[in-house]
Amino acid sequence: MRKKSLFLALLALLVGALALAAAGCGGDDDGNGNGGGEGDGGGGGVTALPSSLCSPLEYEGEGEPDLIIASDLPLQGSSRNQTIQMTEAMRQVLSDAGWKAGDLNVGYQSCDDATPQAGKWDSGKCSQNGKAYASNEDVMAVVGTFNSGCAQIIIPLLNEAPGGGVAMISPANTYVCLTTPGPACDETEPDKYYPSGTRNYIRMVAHDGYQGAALAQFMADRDIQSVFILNDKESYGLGVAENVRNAAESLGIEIAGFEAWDPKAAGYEGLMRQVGQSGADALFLGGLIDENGAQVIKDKVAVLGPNDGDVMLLAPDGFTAQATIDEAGQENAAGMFSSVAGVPPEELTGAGAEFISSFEETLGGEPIEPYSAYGAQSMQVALDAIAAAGDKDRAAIVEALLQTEVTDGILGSFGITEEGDPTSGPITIYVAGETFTTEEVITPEEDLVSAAMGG
Amino acid sequence: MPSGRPSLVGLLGLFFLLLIIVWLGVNFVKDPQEFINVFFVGLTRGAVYALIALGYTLVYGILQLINFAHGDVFALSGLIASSVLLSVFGVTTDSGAGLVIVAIAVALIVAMVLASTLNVTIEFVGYRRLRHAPRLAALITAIGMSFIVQNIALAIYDVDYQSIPRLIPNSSVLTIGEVALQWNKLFVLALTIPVLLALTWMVRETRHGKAMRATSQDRDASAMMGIDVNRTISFTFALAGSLAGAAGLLFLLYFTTMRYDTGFELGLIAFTAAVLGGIGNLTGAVLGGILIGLIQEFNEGLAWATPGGDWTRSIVFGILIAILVFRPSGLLGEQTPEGE
Repeated sequence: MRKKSLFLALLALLVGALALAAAGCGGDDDGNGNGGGEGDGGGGGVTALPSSLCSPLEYEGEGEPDLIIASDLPLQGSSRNQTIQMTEAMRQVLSDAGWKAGDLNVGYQSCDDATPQAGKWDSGKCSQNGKAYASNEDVMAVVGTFNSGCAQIIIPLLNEAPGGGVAMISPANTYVCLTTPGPACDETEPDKYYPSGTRNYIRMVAHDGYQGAALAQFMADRDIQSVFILNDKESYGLGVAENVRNAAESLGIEIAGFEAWDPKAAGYEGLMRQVGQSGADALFLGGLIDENGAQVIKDKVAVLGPNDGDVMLLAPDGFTAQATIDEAGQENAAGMFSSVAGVPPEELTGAGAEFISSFEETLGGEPIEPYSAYGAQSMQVALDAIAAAGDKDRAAIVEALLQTEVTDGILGSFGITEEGDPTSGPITIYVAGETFTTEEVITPEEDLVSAAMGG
Repeated sequence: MPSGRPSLVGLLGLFFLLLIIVWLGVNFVKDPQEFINVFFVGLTRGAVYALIALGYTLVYGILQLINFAHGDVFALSGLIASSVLLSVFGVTTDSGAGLVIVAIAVALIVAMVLASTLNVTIEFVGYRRLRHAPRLAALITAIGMSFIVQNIALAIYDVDYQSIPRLIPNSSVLTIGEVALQWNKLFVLALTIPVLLALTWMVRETRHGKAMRATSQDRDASAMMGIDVNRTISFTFALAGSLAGAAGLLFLLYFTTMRYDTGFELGLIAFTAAVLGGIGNLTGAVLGGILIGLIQEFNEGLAWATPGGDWTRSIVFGILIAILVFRPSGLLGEQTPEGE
């Protein structure tokens, strides 16, 4: 009897241990063997961010690093290919710069704001990361986030960080109200993200006002009469869906319906039948592929037919990743249009073209994800701001960041507005096939952008 | 003492029921063909829920335990089935019918056997020693088991959705006007109905079924009459597991996408279905599953005055609350010692 009890206890222990191991190891790999590594204090002259949040401190220059730049991206789930490429692009920029910003040696840590359970950014993880950056006096800049929802959490934490705030450069946040007030924003936005009263955040991509305007323009150019709009209920998804609705209405496109899809639902056949009944000749999905987007696409095709048929399928940058085609299947994704703020990699010139050419070699034939160049440009802007400040001084770096003026950079030449947005706003529309390929680059009229923002 | 007059709550309930009937009626009159199409979608989704709900209801019937791990066993077995289909047989949309049928048959057997084994192990490791412990201990253990199974699925399959090609075509098998029934829906319905009939026959007519019913009514008396209670309970868990395995494969074939946590939400819905129909009651579980499937699809698929997807969960659980308030034993009543 005692033997049996012991056996049961051991068995239970084994199952428990398996589960714990499972919880700890699910997908926690950023492609560089990161995720474990040295302890919290490693890194020579600086104190590394905790290994539970970030990769080990990386530094390949001479001597020891003087400061840390951290990247904050979701390294697990459907966005993984895209975000891992972005970290590779950042490493390449650091390597090209000799791991230096001016005279200062720069160490780098790649931090993950996703959890293995969620497979996407997680509010708890974003908060934990933000607090870690703010409290580590060696962190001088953060490149991220990828998701606007996570930025809503991290920006205020970095804004109030000791020493004048931590500079933050996002390669991919497009939610309008992070930087710019507007009719569609809450009345406390964007001020609530900057409690110190001074800005510390800029982004490299045009906001969703541009994306919404460009997508509406694209639909109008293709004679779309009526569009049904779905969103995933997240702030980004709902925001871009509203931007598309506003812009489409201003161009005379009828809004056949404006609804949400439940990311936890098993399927969307009924919802798609409703879209079909509405008579819409286009369907727009405002949201992320991580939010069960592949199933939405599959059911769209199953009920409403192929994307080049009676009902066109469009989506914003939350869907513009190879994962969309892989998860939905090429037969379902084919013909779907999706947008990305900025120009496509193959249309970059000068420093951008050089970067893409050498990055292609690094990737060894893997298709370049649209946001990789934006990750690289963001890292370059962080290095330039630190170099301009000339010292390991958070306040001076933030001040230099807000004066950013990019000339012949990876993304070309552009400035940053007082709000922190780039001064140019081209939007690329991609079409899905085996991979996403460029369909058209649209620079929307300012009036239409204003209409998209609810003005 | 009853007053004989309907209460305010009762009148409110009748009013809402009337509203729902009017809403359905108007939608039917406005577009009867689309109404029937949406009905088929809901019926199919409900049949999938029903298969999962049967597992909950079987276990509850015999142990009065809500086996929260059931939904996760369902998801894990679906993921394992995806591995069999893709990695072992390498099926694609271009594969021949023969290969597809063999692959599905093997996947079904593998999923059912593994899910049964896992379910029996869960009972043996987690629940058996808690049979005389307070209900709360067993409940918390069930929740723990759910997380353990979920994390095992996460460790093996990662967080990404596992997709398979559409092996059961969604082309129409029957078309009348604009009403169409597709092959994949027919497949789901054709599998659920015989499973329910076979299960009902087994519980009512066979030796094992009689042992299950006796154990469910009085474990001690059953043991005194020579029934091996442990074996009977293990058999019930094996049966529930094999249903989870079949449901996992069916879900995968119908929806073609699955993830480690698919079973969490679906498990909750299936559990709700079992309660709605009358937990412990096999027919009730199927009725509950189908009703929830229909409610969801009518809410999302009908065109006139539809609350829409934002409200689906609220409506499903609101109806559950209403049923529990007005008919605590579920629509068909419990068939457990507690329900008698």
